[in-house]
Amino acid sequence: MNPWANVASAPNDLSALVARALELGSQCRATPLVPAAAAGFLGVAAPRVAMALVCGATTDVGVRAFHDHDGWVLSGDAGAIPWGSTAATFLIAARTESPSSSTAPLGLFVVDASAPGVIRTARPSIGADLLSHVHLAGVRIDDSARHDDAGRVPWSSVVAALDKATIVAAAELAGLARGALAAAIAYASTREQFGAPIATYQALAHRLADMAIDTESAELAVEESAGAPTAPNASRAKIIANDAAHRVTAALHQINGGVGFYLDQVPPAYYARVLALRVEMGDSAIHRLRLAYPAAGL
Amino acid sequence: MLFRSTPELDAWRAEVQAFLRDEMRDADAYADPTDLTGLSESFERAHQLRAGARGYLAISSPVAYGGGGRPPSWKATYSYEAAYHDAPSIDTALTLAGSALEAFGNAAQKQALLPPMARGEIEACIAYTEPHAGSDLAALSTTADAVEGGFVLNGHKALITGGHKADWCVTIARTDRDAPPRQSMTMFVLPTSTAGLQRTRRVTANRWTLSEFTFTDALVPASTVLGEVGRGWQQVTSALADERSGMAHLGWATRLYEQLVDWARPLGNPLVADRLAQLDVELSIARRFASRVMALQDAGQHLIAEASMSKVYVTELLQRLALAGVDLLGVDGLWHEVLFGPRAGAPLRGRFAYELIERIHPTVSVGANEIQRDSIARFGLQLPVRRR
Repeated sequence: MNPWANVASAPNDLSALVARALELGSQCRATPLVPAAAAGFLGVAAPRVAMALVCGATTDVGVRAFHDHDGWVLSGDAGAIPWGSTAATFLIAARTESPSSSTAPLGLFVVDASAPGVIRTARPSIGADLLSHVHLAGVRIDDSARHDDAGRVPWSSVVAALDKATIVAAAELAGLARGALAAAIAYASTREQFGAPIATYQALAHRLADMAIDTESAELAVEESAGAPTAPNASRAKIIANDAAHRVTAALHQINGGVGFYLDQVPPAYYARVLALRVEMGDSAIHRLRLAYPAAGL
Repeated sequence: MLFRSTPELDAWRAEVQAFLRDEMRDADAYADPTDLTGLSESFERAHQLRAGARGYLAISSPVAYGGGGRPPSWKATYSYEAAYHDAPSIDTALTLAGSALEAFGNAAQKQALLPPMARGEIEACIAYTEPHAGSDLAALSTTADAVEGGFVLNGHKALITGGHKADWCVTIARTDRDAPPRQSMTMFVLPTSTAGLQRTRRVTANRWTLSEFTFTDALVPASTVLGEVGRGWQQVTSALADERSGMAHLGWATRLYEQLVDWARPLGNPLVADRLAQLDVELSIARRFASRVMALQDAGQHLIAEASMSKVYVTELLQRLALAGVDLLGVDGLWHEVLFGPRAGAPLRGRFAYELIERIHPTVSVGANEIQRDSIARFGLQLPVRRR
């Protein structure tokens, strides 16, 4: 199945994308909806976009860009990129000598995946996300391919667009939590041990109730941030959805017991998708940093 | 009550460590990702023969059956070290089936099986669980009907560790269809080559396999009965209690923690340091719980709540450790590598992505942690029980 088929017509509309992400998540359908949404919000009209951004508190931007008389030259490791294996376009953050702002010394570049010097290596991932490592060996691109260049797109607009994509990622996580909760309820209500459905045991009933609290905390955070997509709201939604979806899918595994550990059962697919989305558009640690230090302009 | 090591045990531990380091030096050449150990059956068998020849596998077993006659803490120490070194001698015939054989086997069975198990010549498995009998073993439906000269087994067993390579299997079936479940079961120890026993492999979330056994009119002689006919449920319950020392889990946890600290040291990142310091504290808790279990076992005490606490704590800590490793590596943390074989260059050898999937099952297997918490409540706290 082509994972890109579902996102070919991603609308540039946050509410519609959030609704779609909630649905795709609850069905556990792995698609590159998040980078497609980011491309849409950024106004990048390129096919099959994957993104290399700073995703974790211990990772750093590994690509440097310098300008010569012919345009930009990009070199360095862009790191592991979700959906990178079959992407046609990479959106890459790079350190540049002419940053967009003094607080974020970065530029955002649109790079054709088939350009000379783009070296990608597929990485087996636990996240079912076609992970690929991308290295740029002196990739030349036109001035026009620097997305935020020369006041065309101010850095604050780049950040605002990425915040919306972050909310879409949070929505997909909330959808995964919702789907995993439904699967856990279905299993616990039909699986019998000690002469009764296991959902009748209070230890499991309480666990399912906690999973519902987690799921709804994520859904409400997504709803609020979609209505007011500020940077702190986006970060809060991602942190809440990251933690909630992880706890709920881990609990789905626990409730499904030994049989749920077989690869052909429901829990591994939900768990794998959550693991991938937890780091897409930033992990919880980097979003906590954004909340703590808003002036950093990340 | 915490365990105190002795100079003799310390010296033996050092010898075991040197042996395991040497054993595992070239292990990447013997990779088999379809096996839980990550290593080929031939490597595992050769390794267990060498460990057996040194007396390691049966260090705490009775001398009469080829064992070392040492206290249980010695066996636990070996499990810890084997896990720490990723050696394929954690799930051995003796760790899986030894306690049931020692406790319930007749003289002929013990003489036939325990010495070769001690020498590392036999692989074994336990096949108790069924699709509808997991935590509730009394619900099992495999039948063993008495016939002339033995029993005929019919039924399906699931989630069997190492079933595909096992030479022998300990199982349990209903020998009396009319009696209440707890008086109707009987244990058997039988060769996996038994006619009518079909083995299949099923792929797990981490891509290695567990086994399922189907018995179809499998005729076994009466000499395969382990223990008493009709006492199987009581026997299995006491044999399972023996599986919970948790020292292998502690070995893995310690190794993962050390790898993470080595990786993080040059970063000088206070966020990373904070998370690792918390894990350091939690690992110290796991170590004390496991230490107490060893001390009580050496003192010959029957323990339930203490072993359950140790199992719950360390298996859940392993999940937190794996998650920390994946979190700290960012997107690279998702890069999954198999345990052994040619390396693709993932940071920390892709170990934490592997672990994040792998550590799902210990909180479920060998007594799900919910069942362990029931034991802590019932036998540790002696809470009142409502009859259902």
